[in-house]
Amino acid sequence: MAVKFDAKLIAVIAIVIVLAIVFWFVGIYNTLISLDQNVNTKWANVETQYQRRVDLIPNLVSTVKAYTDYEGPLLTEITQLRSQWTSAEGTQAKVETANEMESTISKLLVVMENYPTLQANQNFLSLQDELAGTENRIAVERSRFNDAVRSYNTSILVFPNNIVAGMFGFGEKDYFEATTEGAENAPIVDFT
Amino acid sequence: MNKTFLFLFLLILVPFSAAQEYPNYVGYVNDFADVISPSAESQLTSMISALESEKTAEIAIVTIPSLENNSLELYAVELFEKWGIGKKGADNGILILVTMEEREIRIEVGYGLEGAINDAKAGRIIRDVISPRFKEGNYDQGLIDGTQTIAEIIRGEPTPQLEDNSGSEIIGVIIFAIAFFIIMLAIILAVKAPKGKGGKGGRIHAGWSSSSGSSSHGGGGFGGGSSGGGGASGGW
Repeated sequence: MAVKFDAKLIAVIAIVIVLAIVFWFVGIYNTLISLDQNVNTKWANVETQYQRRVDLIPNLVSTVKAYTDYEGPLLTEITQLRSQWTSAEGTQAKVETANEMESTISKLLVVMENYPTLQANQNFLSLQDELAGTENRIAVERSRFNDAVRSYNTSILVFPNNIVAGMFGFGEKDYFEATTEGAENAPIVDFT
Repeated sequence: MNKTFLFLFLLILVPFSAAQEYPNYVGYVNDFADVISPSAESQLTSMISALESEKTAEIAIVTIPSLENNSLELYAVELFEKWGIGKKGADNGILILVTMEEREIRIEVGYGLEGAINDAKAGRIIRDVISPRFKEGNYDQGLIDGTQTIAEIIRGEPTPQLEDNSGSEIIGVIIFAIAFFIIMLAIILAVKAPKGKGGKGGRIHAGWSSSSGSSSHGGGGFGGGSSGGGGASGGW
C-alpha cells in the first residue's frame, strides 16, 4: 500500500503534536506550581499554630504567678523564648525556638501538677485545654505539611514530571523533622 | 514504560497509605460500642438533623469499644477527615468520640466552628456536662446533654454561606473544550485538505494525563468538612 505523503497534512499533524505536547507540559507545570503552593500554605498553617501557642504564654505566665508561689526558672525561660520567637528570622530559627518552647511548657505543666489549687482553677483548666488543643493542632498541621511535601516530592520525581521539574528548577523539599526528642508527638497534658 | 512508572509511583505511596482502618459511618449516631439505647439514638439523630437543617452544621457521635493503642487525638482527626463531617468550605462539623476501654472522650471541632467552640469550651463541655453523666454510667444522658449544649452554641452563631465551588472547575473544562475543539478542527481540516486523496486520515490519540482527582467523599451523610485538630479531650 503506497501512502502518498501530503506536505500539508504532515505539517498540520506536526502542529497538532507540538500543541499537544505544549498543553501537556503546561498542565504538568501548573500541577507542580499548585503542589508547591500547597506546601507553602501548609507551612503557613504550622506557623499559625506556633503563633497561637506563643499568644497563650502571657496568660499562662500570669495564671501561674497569680495562683501559685512557684519561683523556678521556667517562667522566665518561657517569656524569653516568646521574645526569641518574635525576633526569630527564617524557618530554621523559628522551628528551633518553637521546639524549645514546647519542651519548656510541658516541663512547666508537669511542675504545676504539684499545685492542687491551680489544678482546680477554672482559668487554668481552660488554659490547659487551649494548650493541649494547640499542641494537637501543631501536630496535625505538621503531618499535613509533611503530606504536602511528600506529594510534591513524589510528583517532581516521576516521569515525565521530572523533565518539567528540571526545566523550571523545581527541587526536592525537606520534610519537617522534630529536632527535639518527642516533639513529633504532642506532649501529654494530664486532665486529672 | 508508563506502567513501570505507575508501579514505582504506587510503591512510593503504599507505606504511607496503609495506615489505620477507620469504619464507615452509618448515620449521625454511630454506636459501634453499643452503649446507646435505641430511644436515645433516635433522639440524638433527630436533634442533630434539626440542627443540620437549621444551621447546616453537622454533628457526628461515635462510640468505639477500644482505640487499640492509637492516640485518641489522631483517631479523631483522621476519622473526621475520612467522613468529612461538616459542610465543605464551611467546615462546620463536630465529632464526639467516646472510647469505652480507655474511658476517653474527645470533642473534635471543625475549622469553621473553632471560634464558637474553642478548646476551653470543648473541655468544659466534657468535664461539666458529659463526664458527670458518664461517671454514673448514663451514656445516653451524657451524650444528649453534650449534644444539646453544642447545638445551643451553634444556634447562637450565624449560619455560614455555603460557597459553590464548581466555578473554577467549569473554567478548566471550558479551556480544555476550546483546546480540544481547535485540535479537532485542525485534524478535520487536515483530513479534508483538497489534495489529500491518499488515505482516509489517521486518527490521532492525543493523550492528556490528568493525575489529579479531587477525592470527594461519598454522597449521603456528611458534607466534606475538615478539622485541624481543634477541640478537647477528657476522661470519665
